[in-house]
Amino acid sequence: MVHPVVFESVGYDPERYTGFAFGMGIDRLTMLRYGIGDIRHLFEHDVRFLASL
Amino acid sequence: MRISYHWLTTLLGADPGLDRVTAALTLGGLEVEHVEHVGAHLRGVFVAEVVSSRPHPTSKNPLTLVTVDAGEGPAEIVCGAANVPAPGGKVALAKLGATVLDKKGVPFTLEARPVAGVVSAGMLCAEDELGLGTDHAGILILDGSLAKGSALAELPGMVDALLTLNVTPNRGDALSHRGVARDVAALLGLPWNPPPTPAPAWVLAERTASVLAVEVRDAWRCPRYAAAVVSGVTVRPSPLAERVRLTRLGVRPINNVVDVTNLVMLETGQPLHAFDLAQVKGARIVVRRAADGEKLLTLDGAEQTLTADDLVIADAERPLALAGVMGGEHSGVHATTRDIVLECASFEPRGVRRTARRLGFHTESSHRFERGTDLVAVADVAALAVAMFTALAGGAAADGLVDVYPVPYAPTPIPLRPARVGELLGVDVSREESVRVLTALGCAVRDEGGALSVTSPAHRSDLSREVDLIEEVARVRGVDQIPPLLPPTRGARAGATRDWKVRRKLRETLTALGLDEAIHMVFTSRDDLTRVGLDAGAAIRLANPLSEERSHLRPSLIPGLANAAALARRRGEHRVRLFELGSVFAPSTAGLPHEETRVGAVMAGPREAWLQRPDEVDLYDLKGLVEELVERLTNAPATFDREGEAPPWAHPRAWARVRVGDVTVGHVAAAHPDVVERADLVRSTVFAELDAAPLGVTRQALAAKAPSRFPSSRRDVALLLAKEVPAGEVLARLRALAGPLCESVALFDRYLGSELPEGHHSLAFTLTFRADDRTLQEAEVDALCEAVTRGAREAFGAAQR
Repeated sequence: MVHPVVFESVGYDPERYTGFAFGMGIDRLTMLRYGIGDIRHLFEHDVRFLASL
Repeated sequence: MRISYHWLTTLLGADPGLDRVTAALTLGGLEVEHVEHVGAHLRGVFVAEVVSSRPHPTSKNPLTLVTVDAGEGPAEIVCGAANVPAPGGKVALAKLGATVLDKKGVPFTLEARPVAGVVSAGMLCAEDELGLGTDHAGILILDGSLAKGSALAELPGMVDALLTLNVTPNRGDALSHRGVARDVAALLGLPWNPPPTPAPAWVLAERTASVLAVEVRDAWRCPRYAAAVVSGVTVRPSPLAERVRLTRLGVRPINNVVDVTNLVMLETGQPLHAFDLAQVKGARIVVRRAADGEKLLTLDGAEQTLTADDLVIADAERPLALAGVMGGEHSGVHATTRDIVLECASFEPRGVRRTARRLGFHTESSHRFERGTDLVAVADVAALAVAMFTALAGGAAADGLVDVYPVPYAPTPIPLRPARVGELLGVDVSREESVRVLTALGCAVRDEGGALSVTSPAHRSDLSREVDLIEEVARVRGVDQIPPLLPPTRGARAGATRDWKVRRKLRETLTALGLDEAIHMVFTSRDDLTRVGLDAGAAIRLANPLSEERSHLRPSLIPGLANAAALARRRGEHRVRLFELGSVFAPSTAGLPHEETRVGAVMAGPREAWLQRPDEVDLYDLKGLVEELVERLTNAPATFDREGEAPPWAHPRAWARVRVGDVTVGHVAAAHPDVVERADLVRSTVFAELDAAPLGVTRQALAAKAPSRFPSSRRDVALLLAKEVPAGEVLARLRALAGPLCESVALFDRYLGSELPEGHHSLAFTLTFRADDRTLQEAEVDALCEAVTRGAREAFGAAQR
């Protein structure tokens, strides 16, 4: 759950508002979907890798 | 943090079951990463009494034949150690079939085989062969009071499970056996009664304050300093059980005094230090900042140069220890130490962290002080340590402590509204249950109707507001007790935003045009920027970059694309066709930096070719691609000119500004020769960088035009022009001059001949004329063409050829 200090610092009243925060790495999902073995491929920009997708 | 399950159950006074405890700890936020079972092999090792011994009759090696009795009558053992005790002494006998460790720590099973002609009935073991320590100087001599014939496994704590806990930095209280026991009790609903502090075996009449003075000069960095003095100790190795406990928990046994400080730390979480009183000059402890450049030889044998930010424990003359981090070599406890000073103190976490980090230390002590220790418990912990000193090392304690504790712990009570617990957790939690949980964790809870008034204990300084308490209630009740429930959602009408659609169309169009997408981080480096001619000084530098490779926010997409093209070249991949769509940043005079979306492209290497040697791409390939992109996104043609300034990465003679209507979109250019050189690119590399915003605006609605039924008339016009005059400009002018009857103007030839004047070339255009309602007359077309030529001559000084 979102810490009330976060709400306070952006001007929301933590007495009125509560929140969930969650996230996931889309690069990791991409790795699973396309069978990419090393996350660094996604940021290295080898043109042969890019052309394979 | 490693936890002995046996020790834990001793503190709890109950054995709830290993599986229950590990499950509860993990769900309760103290994740059990690993459980190691130790000591099971000690079931085959027995306490044996030496009956007699004699030298081996035939062996050349110094072997002894020892007759021992492990409760089943005499048995003869071949032994290579020199320290076989006299008859009546107790040793550890591994019987045949038992598992012991070899020199490399690999387990093996004892079998009956002759050693120099004598078959041994087992093996007298050293500590390391039993996995109880590292000592291999001789066989293990056991306490004479142990009953012969009992298995070592039956001794308390010898068969144990070691739990490795992943303790988050906010839970300094869980870096001790007592702290974990308290949590286990709260999580499982067991009573928690910390063991009472034992009294020292012998207390002197002399007050501690009369033999030792303590002065704290920095009460902020050291809010509490307690010291005790124990006189007449005998420094020697600790008993087996203590050494085994320390070894298993990852602490090397040193001697009984140092071992007590470590055992008490592992039990209570409070780091302790013992000084040799003889080394404390003036019998005076001064807690002060170091002088800049002051030196201290620490226990690891390295000389440290201190700064005024380091807190030291000093005597009347010199520093003795780095407060909360590491002791000094000279003031520590040695074999000849008689009188010891025990330090039990609290140090400010951030100060300890700064000193430890600067000097590269991470000790059991600094680890705990950095996470906060229990300010209130200091006196009790000191008393426990003093009692253990007198029990394990003998000696007598001076009466009482010197306890410098100017500002007692007095936290502000936190109001907790019982209804708020249920509101935040989504489950009903009774007032009584909240009180039970918080009390079990050591909070003082006052219930006077309305909100509860909760005072957090000194060992939980992380509990500072209402939500922290509610989190504890959720944690101890069990996060798994909160039923999963999908939050109600409302269908959104908005769908994809306009901006998102533009981005999608840009991506689809560029991939359809044969480019692959690159996605770089928005962080770039000074080197990346200067390689493509950009001014790093004008880019936004991060205040706290992860590394110098990621020090600036990118002001352009070109550095990343240049790197990708250079990488392709290094990998032997000549054909590069990449685009990137992303944010770039520029400083702004007020507020946040300016951020805009751009689309960049790079092409290099050979063109597509069929049955011929392929040419390298040039500026016109990318210009064509940009024309196509602009057209497809805005329904309007891109125009190109050389107005304004060329971007720094552009070749000075091969660049163009891209416009759509009267809006400047960006630039397309061959790479500047210096950029080619510095960035290690192929010569044919061409770049484009466009602002994405104008590409998101459709400038013309598409409208169909019925084709004319009448024939067209074509005229070719060749003009002699100075080479500096851009063909596009001439084309646009011809178009305007030719009027509404002109259907199209196209450039179809360029002629360069030696007979032409210096700096000139001849461009040939085809003009097509057509009317919608009639067939045009020859004379009419000739007149139009004549007017066009005249106009061009006036505009560009062009002669007709």
